Amino acid sequence: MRAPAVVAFLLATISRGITHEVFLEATLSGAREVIPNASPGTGTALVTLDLDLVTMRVETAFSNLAGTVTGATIFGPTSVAGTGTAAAMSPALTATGFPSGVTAGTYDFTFDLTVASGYDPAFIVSSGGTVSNALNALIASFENGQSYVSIRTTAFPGGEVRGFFTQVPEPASVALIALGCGIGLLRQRRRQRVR
Amino acid sequence: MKLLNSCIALAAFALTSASSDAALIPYNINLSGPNESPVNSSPGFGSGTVTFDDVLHTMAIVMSFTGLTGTTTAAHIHAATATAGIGTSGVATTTPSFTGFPLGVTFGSFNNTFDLTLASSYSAAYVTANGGTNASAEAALLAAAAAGKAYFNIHTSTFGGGEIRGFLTPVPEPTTVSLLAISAGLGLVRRRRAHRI
Repeated sequence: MRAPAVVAFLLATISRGITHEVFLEATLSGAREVIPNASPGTGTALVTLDLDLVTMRVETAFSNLAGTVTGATIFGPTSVAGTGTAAAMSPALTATGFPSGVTAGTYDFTFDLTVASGYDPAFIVSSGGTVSNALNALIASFENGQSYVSIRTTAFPGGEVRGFFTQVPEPASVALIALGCGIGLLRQRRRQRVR
Repeated sequence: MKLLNSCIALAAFALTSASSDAALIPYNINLSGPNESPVNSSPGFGSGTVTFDDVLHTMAIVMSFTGLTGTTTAAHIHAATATAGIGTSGVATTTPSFTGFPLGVTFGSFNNTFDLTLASSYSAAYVTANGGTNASAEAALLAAAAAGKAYFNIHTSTFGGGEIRGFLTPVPEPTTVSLLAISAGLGLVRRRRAHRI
């Protein structure tokens, strides 16, 4: 009976932790594009929404693209999680150091979400007109799995690789889960010994 | 002689009360959506006081809030912004939220005193970024508050980045003024009595 209580406590701790910083991951591939393609390219993206600093850090690594990069953008929200298309949420990532003209590279930039320059201008309008509207819409889009990042190239101007973002537990939560599992296993062992 | 004695007594009282006041550093907080970064149109608001005691090393918070559009998910004091009164900064106080702060509600009140000599009164990152000890973190927090670079923020389900917030602003010190008025009043009463006799 105690194990469920431990799990409940851990879950409560984790969900409270996530309100502080939101971590999202995406795996990019040609198969995940709107029009699936056979690109050998791969990539990963990590978005960290800091709800205290009100910032969005975007870290990306990609390689083996068939064409060279012409653009990269984060889109959302799609009407259904994990599928479909949507308009741009972020500004063009190439304007903040996303490598263009290459088939492999990395990117790391932190956007200030308290100002209009942290968003695509049309996204602010479609969200209700204020930066606060855009911020809340962006957070919801990420948390609901309706956001994706797509890299466009000379070979695939409509998008060579893309991936939808899904929420990942923060490192501390992972450690807690591991700890919880460990405690659970110990308890089971003890019970078996008693028997 | 009696008047002189009472004057001395009053002066002594004023001095002792002045020195005990020096330990208390009170701030007002007025929380609203328009005070947020980015600014929002939440109808919610809140108010209260944050009082530091630099002798007892405590931070006493008494505040209430109402009218939120979402339910509370966390509340902290953030510090220090780059510029006074604007911008954002990381959490300085207990994470994930103030101990005892009502969560999952659209209105409520909060009254708690934190021991600033304890690590649990700070966000771990704030201690690391400000000298690494609880004492250095306390000094940094008091300095940020004095510089107008600390704010009380309430995060909600509808405004993940914060629905209402307010910077800590110094409370004008009414005690010295009222003490002067009291002593002047007492002086007058004594004069009247002396005249009667």
